[in-house]
Amino acid sequence: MKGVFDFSYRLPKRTYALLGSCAFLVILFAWYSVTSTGLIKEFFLPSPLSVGRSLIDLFAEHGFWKDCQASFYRITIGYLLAVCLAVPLGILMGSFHICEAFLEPLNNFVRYTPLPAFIPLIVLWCGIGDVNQITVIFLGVFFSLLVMVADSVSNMPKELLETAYTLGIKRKKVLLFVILPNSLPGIYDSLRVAIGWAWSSLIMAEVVGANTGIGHMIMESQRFLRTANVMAGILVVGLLGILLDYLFKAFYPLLFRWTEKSRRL
Amino acid sequence: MSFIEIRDLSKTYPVSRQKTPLVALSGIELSIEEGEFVVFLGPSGCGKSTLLRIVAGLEDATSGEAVFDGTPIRGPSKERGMVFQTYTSFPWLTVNENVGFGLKQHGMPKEPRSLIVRRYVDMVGLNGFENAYPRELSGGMKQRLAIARSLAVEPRVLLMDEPFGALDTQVRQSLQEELLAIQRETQKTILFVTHDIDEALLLGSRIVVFSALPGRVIHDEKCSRTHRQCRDYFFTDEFAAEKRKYARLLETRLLKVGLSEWSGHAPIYYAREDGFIPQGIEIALGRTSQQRIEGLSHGVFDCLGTTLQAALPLISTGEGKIVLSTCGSTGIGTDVVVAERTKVKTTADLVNVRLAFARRTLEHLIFAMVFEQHGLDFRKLCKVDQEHPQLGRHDYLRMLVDGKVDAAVLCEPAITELFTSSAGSRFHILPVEIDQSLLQQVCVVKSEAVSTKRDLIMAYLRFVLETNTLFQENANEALSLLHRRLSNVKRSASFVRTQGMPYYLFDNIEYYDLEQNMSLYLEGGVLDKLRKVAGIAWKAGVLVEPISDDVLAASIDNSFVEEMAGE
Repeated sequence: MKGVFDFSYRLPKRTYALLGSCAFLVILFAWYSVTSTGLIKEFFLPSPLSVGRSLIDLFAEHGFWKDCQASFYRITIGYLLAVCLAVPLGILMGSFHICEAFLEPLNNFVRYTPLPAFIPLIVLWCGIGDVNQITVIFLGVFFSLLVMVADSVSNMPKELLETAYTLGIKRKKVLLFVILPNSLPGIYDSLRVAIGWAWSSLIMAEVVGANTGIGHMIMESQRFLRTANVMAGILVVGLLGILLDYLFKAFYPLLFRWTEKSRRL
Repeated sequence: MSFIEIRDLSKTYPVSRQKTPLVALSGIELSIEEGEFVVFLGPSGCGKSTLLRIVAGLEDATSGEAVFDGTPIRGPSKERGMVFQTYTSFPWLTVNENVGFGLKQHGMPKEPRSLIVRRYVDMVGLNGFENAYPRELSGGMKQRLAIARSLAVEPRVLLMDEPFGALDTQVRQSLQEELLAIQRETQKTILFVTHDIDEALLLGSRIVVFSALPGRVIHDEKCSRTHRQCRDYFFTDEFAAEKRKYARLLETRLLKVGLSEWSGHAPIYYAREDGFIPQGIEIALGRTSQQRIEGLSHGVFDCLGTTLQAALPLISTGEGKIVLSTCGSTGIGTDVVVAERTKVKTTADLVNVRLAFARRTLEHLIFAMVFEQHGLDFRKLCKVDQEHPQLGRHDYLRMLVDGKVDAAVLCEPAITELFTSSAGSRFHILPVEIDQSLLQQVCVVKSEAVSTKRDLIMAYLRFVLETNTLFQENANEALSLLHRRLSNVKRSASFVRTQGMPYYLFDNIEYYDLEQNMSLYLEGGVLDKLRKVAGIAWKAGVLVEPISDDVLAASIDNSFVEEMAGE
């Protein structure tokens, strides 16, 4: 068993998945035990079975599809908008010190301001429609993503740049064909982390002010004391998160076969 | 106009929280021809990489300029390819794509590109790895890839910054040999930076040695390449000698002084044995004056104690500068003419008797001066051992005793040995008036060292003057030491003195006055004497080339004496 605790020990894929599932099963079992024995009242913590039932109910009778759809729409637009702006700006920031000098202090100012503090303003300016949630997602993703992209770009080894120059390659091409490909894995990793922020921003926005969406459903259910629905909503958000993360992870070795990391995934 | 010209180039870096900037390179002058394999050799952090980067166009010179094929270097270009010490393969490209990267960016179509890529992949022996990513390659293979990639864009010069520094010995050796083969095949001009002497000797057709900061060129030598085709060269004596020479050159913060085994240097020997040599100064004894002079040229020594006559060739080529006209206690090292009592009564009798000296030696010069001063015809000098320049003072002593010659120039300890032996009574010392300062040992410093090792030279000169003063203040004790250590003679010096033996004769010749010497020096008297001795030496055939006044004047670095006089 000593091998398992070696710092560089890698588990076989199947064991890895099995262990991950085990963690879920443990929680599920504990949850089931405390609810089925009546230790905690159904009102505070519904049993896994009733949460499952609510989930089916939500989709079958309460049009939860529409909420999911609305959430998906918002997150796609908000996230893409943030990515489309943050990645090019981040590349500029990471490549040119002058850009960094201009943007970094402002960016940090916004980044360290808690997002909920902006929500009243956003409601005031954008109402409670899609624009509201998209704006919140954008704000929640953009500023942090910018820093991460800039960071992975500026980690460019100096010698690689100089090699390119001594091959007679001009700066524009160096940016496109040397700096960019070298920082893509880092940028990709940042995107993966950023999608998590997008989810939490979305739910927050929907909880505070929205007519539709998963977050809105959660908030409504809380108001009508339908705890099982609240938990079902959280479950959906969590499951979607796992799925997205898995997708990001699965594509990494296909996209970046050349990295050391791709061998471990 | 050379292929690459570096003119009076300097590079300084500002140092944070420090007023004076760091001088990385100072006054670099180099001309490099097409096809040369130039190795920049120097201790770590001596600025040699900086120079390479300036040639690559990756850094700008602070002053001076680097010219490539007639145009000053402004920024990098594909004409000047570079291979770095760190692995610089583009990790997202395969071996083939890496090699073809430059060509692709320059817009070369796929077809011709793949042909060139194939050629260079073959040349560096990466066949079979064409589609591998750099992460799958070993360190040696990554460097092969870097070389192939640089060569693929057909640069006119290949700049290599310690490319094999991170590799293990075996891989490094095979890459070195392959690089030589590539250079033979492509006839590329290569500038190669290393701190490894073996590597420099194996690869370079020319080796340029840099001093520690501020980086200056301290040695620049073209090497014959005939025997450097293979590693067997490493097992030759020649290699060992070359390696020693370069190892010496790299020990830069050391003033290496070469002194003759001459009794006049006795004070310095004792100081050395007792560990009184100032720090940073290394004194080597022995070797013939010719060997020492070559040592100065090759950088084995920075400083020599030698006679004027031996120093003159160095001075005429500008390789050496005289910084002090005495370096040794003349009181004990004085040369005297010892002659057979009956045959040579006065100096005039020296004509037509047999004299022992080898041509172009100090003895030759002394006889020349004696003849000159006494109005004798030097051509009548009867030479005995012209053909044996390797003969030493002790050989002359033996020849005198055996009756093979009638007079010879001797110094300690041969003089004592002669006069304390049974044969001693047959000889006497001729009272010739040899101008003391003409026979002084001079301290010659390699011209480059005058500025780079100024502090050490000053320390050495001060040390020499102090030991000489001490020696003269304690003459008896010192002489006894001299006899115990330099000769087989068991008698003490005080005995010699009380017996009225040679040292009384020595007293007839004035002791060299250091203070007087200093003032002579300052008033330019030394230059006159130098001129005079040079003239005599030339007339006597001791010197091959006459020395011009300009050369003599330029050879003296008075600033040292002024500095010392000022203290």
